Amino acid sequence: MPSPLLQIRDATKIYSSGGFLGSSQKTVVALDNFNMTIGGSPATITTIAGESGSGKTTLANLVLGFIKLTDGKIIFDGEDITDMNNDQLKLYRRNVQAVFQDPFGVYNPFYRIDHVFDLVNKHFSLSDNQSEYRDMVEAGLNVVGLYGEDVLRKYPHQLSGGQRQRIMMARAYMIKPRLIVADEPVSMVDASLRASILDAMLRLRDEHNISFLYITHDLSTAYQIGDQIYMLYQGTTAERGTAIDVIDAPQHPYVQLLIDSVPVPDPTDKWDVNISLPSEEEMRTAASVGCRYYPRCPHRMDKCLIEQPPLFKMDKPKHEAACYLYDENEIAPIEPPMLVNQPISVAAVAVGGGRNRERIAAAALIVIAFIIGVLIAGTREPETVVEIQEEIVVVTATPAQIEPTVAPAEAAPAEAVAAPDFLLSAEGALDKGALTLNADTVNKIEGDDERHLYTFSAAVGQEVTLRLVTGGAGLSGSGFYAPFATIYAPDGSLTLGLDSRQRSRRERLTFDQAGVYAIVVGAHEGIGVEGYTITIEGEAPAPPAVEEPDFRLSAEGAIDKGALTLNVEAVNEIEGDEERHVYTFAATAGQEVRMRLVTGGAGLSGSGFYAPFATIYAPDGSLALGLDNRQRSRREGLTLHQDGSYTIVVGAYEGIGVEGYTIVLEGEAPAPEPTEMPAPVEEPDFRLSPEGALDKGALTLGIEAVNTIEGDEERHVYTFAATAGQEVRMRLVTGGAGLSGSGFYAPFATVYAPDGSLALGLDSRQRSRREQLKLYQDGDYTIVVGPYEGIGVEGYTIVIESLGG
Amino acid sequence: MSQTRSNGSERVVLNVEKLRIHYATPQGEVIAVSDISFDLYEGETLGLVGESGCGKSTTAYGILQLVQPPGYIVHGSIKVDGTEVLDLSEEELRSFRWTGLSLIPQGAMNSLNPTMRVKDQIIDVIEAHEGKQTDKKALRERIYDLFAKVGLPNRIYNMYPHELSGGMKQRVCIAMGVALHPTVVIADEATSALDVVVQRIVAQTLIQVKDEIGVSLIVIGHDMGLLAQIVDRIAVMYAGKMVEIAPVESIYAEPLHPYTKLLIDSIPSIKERKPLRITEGITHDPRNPPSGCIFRLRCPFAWEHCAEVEPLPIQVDRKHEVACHMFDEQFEERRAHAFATTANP
Repeated sequence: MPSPLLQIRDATKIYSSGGFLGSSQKTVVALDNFNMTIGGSPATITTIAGESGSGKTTLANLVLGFIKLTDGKIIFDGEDITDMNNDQLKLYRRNVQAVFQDPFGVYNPFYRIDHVFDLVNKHFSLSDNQSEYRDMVEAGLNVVGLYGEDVLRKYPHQLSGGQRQRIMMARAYMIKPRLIVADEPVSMVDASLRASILDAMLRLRDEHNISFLYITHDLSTAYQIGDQIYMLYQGTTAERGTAIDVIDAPQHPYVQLLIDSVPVPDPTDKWDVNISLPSEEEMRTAASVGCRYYPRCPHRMDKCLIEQPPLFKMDKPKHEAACYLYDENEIAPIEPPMLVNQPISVAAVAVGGGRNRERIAAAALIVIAFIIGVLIAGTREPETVVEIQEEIVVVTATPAQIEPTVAPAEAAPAEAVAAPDFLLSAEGALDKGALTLNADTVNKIEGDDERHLYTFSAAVGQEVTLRLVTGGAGLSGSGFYAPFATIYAPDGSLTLGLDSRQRSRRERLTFDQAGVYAIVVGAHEGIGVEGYTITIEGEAPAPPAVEEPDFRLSAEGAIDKGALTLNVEAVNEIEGDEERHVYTFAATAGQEVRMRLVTGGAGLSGSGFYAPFATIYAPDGSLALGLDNRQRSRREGLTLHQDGSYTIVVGAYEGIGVEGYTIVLEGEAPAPEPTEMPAPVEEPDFRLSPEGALDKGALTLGIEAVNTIEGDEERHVYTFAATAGQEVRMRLVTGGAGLSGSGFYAPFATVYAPDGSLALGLDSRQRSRREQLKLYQDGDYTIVVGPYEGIGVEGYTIVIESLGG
Repeated sequence: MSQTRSNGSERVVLNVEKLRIHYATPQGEVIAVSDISFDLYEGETLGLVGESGCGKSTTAYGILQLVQPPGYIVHGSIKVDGTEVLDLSEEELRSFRWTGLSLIPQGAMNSLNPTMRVKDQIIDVIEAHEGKQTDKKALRERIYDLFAKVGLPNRIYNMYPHELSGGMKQRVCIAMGVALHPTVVIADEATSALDVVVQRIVAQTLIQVKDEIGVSLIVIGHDMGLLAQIVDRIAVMYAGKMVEIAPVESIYAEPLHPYTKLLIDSIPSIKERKPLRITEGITHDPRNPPSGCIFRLRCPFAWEHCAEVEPLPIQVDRKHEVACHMFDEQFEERRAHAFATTANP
């Protein structure tokens, strides 16, 4: 028997924040002991379905090799992908291709569609012969129902979302992969156009033997084209089987709710409005021990808290559900719905209430299920039998034996730093200016599970570093991470918002107001705060630097005596993106400017619906000013408190597109300090090896600069000199993830120290990332910016700022 | 068009008459909305459906007087409770929005001002219309009431939008939309970015709030499944034209216009596996629409007459109108034949 195409064995992916400053290690399990097999031939479409945060995108990223498993194995065609050498990996990249969710973001708006195929040809050397290559492109397009003459010379924005996604399929097809990971390929495409994408998938499966890992939250498309389906809940398989069996007769209570919530296009079969749905917040809670669905489950039993339920066999072949309701070793379960072969409308009743009805047939059905289970068990793989044995052991435990296993966290030792003037209003630990809180202290302080509030006072110009390490679990757009911290200035404005996607984040802040700042720590989704550490380190306030205003536009905007005036025509020349325009300008601390915004768009506001807004971000990423255009014309005075590159983002609410606006920035000479001499501006020490722009310590590269600098499309190299002890901040903004010849994510930057060791690696998953870095060696540091997989660098900005040291 | 809601009031709260909206482009005029007429009844939920580019959102923005250059309203009449919206000055419009007409925008996730707290955004709506509120306690209670209506916890009062989940932001937008008890609320793809269970919760909240405060609702969407669940009537648009309007039960049971049929056939079902119906979207150049029927280039039943004469809305039932020549009495035979062939392909 040939080996399966893809096997995932006991795969666990844990995102952890490791024991920072002695605080307890906290982890989030994104994928927990997950098993899956995709057969080799004939090709199949395996659906991974679940809500945001269920782990489906983690699974896709694991298979694509973007992230590594914490435990377990991913075996492709008999080879463990973590053990592959470079040649094998290259082959793996050929064999496993991807199509992403966003049909807009994966294209570089500056190139015509044929560029996509040219890159593929270049990287994989598909053909040297132009006419043969053109035939290959045409053949690829034809497979997905397109024709070269209609699309190749067009720009991405001239095509529909459906066409763009099919071009991605055609691109993948040209590489002749054996598996395509399709991550939500239809969710951003008009419902009526989705069929064309699904049809392309079916043709690739049936006519070209390409299997799919189809990641989706759309169960109706899974039902139409899926062979197998895995329903994920919080990183575990809640239910699996053929798409038809699972969706026709869902067994797991969560899957029953999910399928009942899919809107049915039949007005005579409406949602039962009286059904008691969990509140949105309840939906986001997960149990940390036992069945993760316990907090939401209408059928929960005490035993569900002891251990996660294994997959129990249902009466259809390969149909399994992870729910103790189907545990045939248990005497009468408390709430057994046993909805085998009953219509979905009945499943809805089971979710909402009316539980008594299901009790009736329970006993008899359990016996039948047990017999079937025993019969089927004979055909199982050995590992599943082991699960059953484990289960028998577990059942002997009683609820009384459940004990809290989480040891209380130790208070963290604080770092000794120069004494700033912090002051805690609550009974937190205060030690030499460093406020270190962990779960333990917090729980003592707080009556409110949901939000913690701390205040401290600060002086103007004071600089601090704030470090947040969280350990909570929750659910967010991109993962499961929870608590966030927000700092409010004395006047109530937002100074900094940190969320905890990264679980550990460090930000440098300069306070521009004197008075009491408030830190609010809270959880998204009402999960409750599960433990975090905040460290604030203060430094002596630097004397404010004063200098002549020095506006400069990085893009081709008009500049006039310090006033930047942009109108819609200028903007359209600059921008590829209809939705957001970004400008940067350099400023010095203490500089005052006036900003005037006149817009003509539409949006949502108190008195009308007008749209575009402009937001100014300070060099450290904090919000300096937000203007919306309620009045369509607004004027604000603003003092810039930081040295460096400020960013203006002009965007529209609602994807209306920016329809026309004028921004006028007028700089005014700051009043000279009457007593003190202005502090001398420190000469920065950076040096660029190619012809990049170098300006006062900030290297800012934009797409135009990059394209002129480079002879090599694949890698850009910069060097700069540093002295030991110097601190820098590096910010990377990239212009697009997704599209490459053979790989899928885009530019990264790596910083190497003079001795060749790795100082810092940034990848561009988040498209915008900022890191603070201390340089420990004297000599030339090297920054290498390059794509994974020979994509070619499609546009990025790197800003490096010296923080002194 | 003149329908009545199956079991509701027959008072018309919104009357749209011959609304036409163009976009002026260097290559010529794009007809985004072409002489659309319909009524919205008190307490009713009307679905406006069609694929991308059909003009459904432009229609909504036209009603709200938010069409942006190069778009402009060529002619038409939009009456809300008898008030001609097109005659209002900019200042009058500002006070009319939120009280007469309000919007729950597309992708409401990003439509809140990121620099203002939730409470301030709602207070902004209230104070812009009712003046400065001196009784802060009463104002807070009023906002808590709104939160309760849309199922939000009070603790978000002081939060910023980035601290909320997508579904919660969506509810904040609903709360703003109904804060001043407007006559008509327009929800533009209001739940399309949400997980399926959250979408259901938010959609049900929307309908409950609508019933509770008695507004009329226009829901714009392309998800025929979701619309079937929440609306009373559906208006189908294609390339700027309204091709069919009918109570939701009739349109799903018996779609008449060939385009409506295609739209309904292309919904992926979770109850029955069917061959995929592939459609390419609107195919003609919007600057240069075909003569006669707008849909004839994609219509499997089109014949010469469709290229010569534009079909006008035909009333096939008291509540059901369709703009297709096959429903003209003189072409009854053709219709019978066409329907027989599709029934047994």
